[in-house]
Amino acid sequence: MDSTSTNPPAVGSNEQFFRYFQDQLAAIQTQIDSLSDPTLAINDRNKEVDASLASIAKLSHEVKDASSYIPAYDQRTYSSSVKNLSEKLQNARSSFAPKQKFSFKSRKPAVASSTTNADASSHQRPQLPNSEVNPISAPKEGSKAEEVSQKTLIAINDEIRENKNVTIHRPTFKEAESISIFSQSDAHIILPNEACHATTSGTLYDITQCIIDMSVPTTTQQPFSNLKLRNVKNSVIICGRVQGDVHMTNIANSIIVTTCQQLRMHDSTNVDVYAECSSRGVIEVCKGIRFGELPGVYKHKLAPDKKDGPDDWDIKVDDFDWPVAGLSPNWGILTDEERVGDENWEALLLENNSDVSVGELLRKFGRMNSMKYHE
Amino acid sequence: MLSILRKARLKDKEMRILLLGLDAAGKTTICKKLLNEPIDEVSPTLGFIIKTIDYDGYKLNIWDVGGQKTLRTYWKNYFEKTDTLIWVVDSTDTARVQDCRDELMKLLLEERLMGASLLVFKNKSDVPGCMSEDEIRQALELDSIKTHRWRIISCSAVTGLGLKEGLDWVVRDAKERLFLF
Repeated sequence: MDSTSTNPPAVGSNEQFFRYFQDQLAAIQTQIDSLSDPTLAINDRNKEVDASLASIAKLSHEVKDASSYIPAYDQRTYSSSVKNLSEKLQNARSSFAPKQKFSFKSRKPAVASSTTNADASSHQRPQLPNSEVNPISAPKEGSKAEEVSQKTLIAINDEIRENKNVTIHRPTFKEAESISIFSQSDAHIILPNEACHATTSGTLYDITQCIIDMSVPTTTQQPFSNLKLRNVKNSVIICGRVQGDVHMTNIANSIIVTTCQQLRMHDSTNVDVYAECSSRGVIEVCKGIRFGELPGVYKHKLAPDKKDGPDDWDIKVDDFDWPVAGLSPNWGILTDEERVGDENWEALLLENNSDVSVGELLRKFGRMNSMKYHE
Repeated sequence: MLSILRKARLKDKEMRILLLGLDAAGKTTICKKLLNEPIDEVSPTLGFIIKTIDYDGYKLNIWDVGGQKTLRTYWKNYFEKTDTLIWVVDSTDTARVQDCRDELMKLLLEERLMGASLLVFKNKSDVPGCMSEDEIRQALELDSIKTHRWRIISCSAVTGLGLKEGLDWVVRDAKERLFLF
């Protein structure tokens, strides 16, 4: 491509770049127009096409390189001009050169047959031969084991659901490989120590008005590698220790207690999180989230390494809906008055509180008494 | 045009790899593990992170883009010039496997990712009770993919299992596809 200035301004002013860009634009435009010359031999035309492509690519790069000093609006204008050029070239190619090189060289034979249709050029998706590494047959072994464990989990959850007269359930998750508690309401569940073989990963979903305490096996034995909570309402969930991330979706009017490496919360409202988190937490589409230090009774269990100190607790939270500087209105820190009193947490830990109903306990945690929390 | 660009870059033995997946799949942790950086302080990724890994004489520029819903709309900004797409799946997350499939299928329709190969990293494979390679393959309907060369590899960002094998495939595949040694 011949133009008066073939190199972009080194350290540019916006002005210089503009002139350079215009020059290049015109040159490429001429080049594309020349493709329509009917006297052009196919080989030459292909060469021209390649040259145009290269010029456009070069220009597109230069726009990107210049992005440090040209304003955002101008960048967009430049980019769209480049895009226009590509489209023009594409049109020119499909009208004049049906047999263009569109595919990678290695695929040429496979694509050659489809190039007969000129119009397809811009839309064709070469059907790549599936590489030999993918055996097509999908043997179903492995899913059998999954089926068994799925059945085990369903049975465990059915048992909790059907035995309403039991005030505190202590499922050992015998024969299960992971913890999964789902579709439960008005249940008080405490994972006993014996469940530690299964606290590898955990999933809790569709939980309403429940108290679930998983702190025993995860603090004394095996912490969760990760934990997922979904659709939890009016509940108190003591997650225990999680080595990886706690991933929460659609939690409403609940209390979460956890020590974790990552904390991620989505689509949740009115949740009090008592947490020790070793990285920055994130919230996304959340409202009324309050964070606080672990309750006194769990501090030593959940965060044994943590030194005692009155004011050294801190949590950093990023809100995806509040990318600007300054505090997000969607979350805050629990004040002392807003925290659940230690006596209530202690009541939860009492072994002999099995005659206290879940509803009564939840009321003490402020998760039952208010209508405003219901949707 | 893409093929020209790619070849130019392969001559410099440089590849651009886009690392995507749902949030909490373990993308950043994989990156860190590959670079032997500590993984216990990984925060959720707010935007994107670029890491360069030298592997087998190639310079792999890995673009690790956050997987939160809010960020997924920006994924498209990173498609350009991608040689290989690495899709990271949390194999312990049965609940979102459908979500995972949908997002992947959306990506595979992208014009700008047409020339890229696909590596599916089945992450968190060290966790007992996680889904098997076959299960993920079926759940994501990988066998229906005809537009991209693909491969699934079980890995664990925590133990390092399968990560090198994955990069091996990425580089080998790039060599085959782009005819450059």
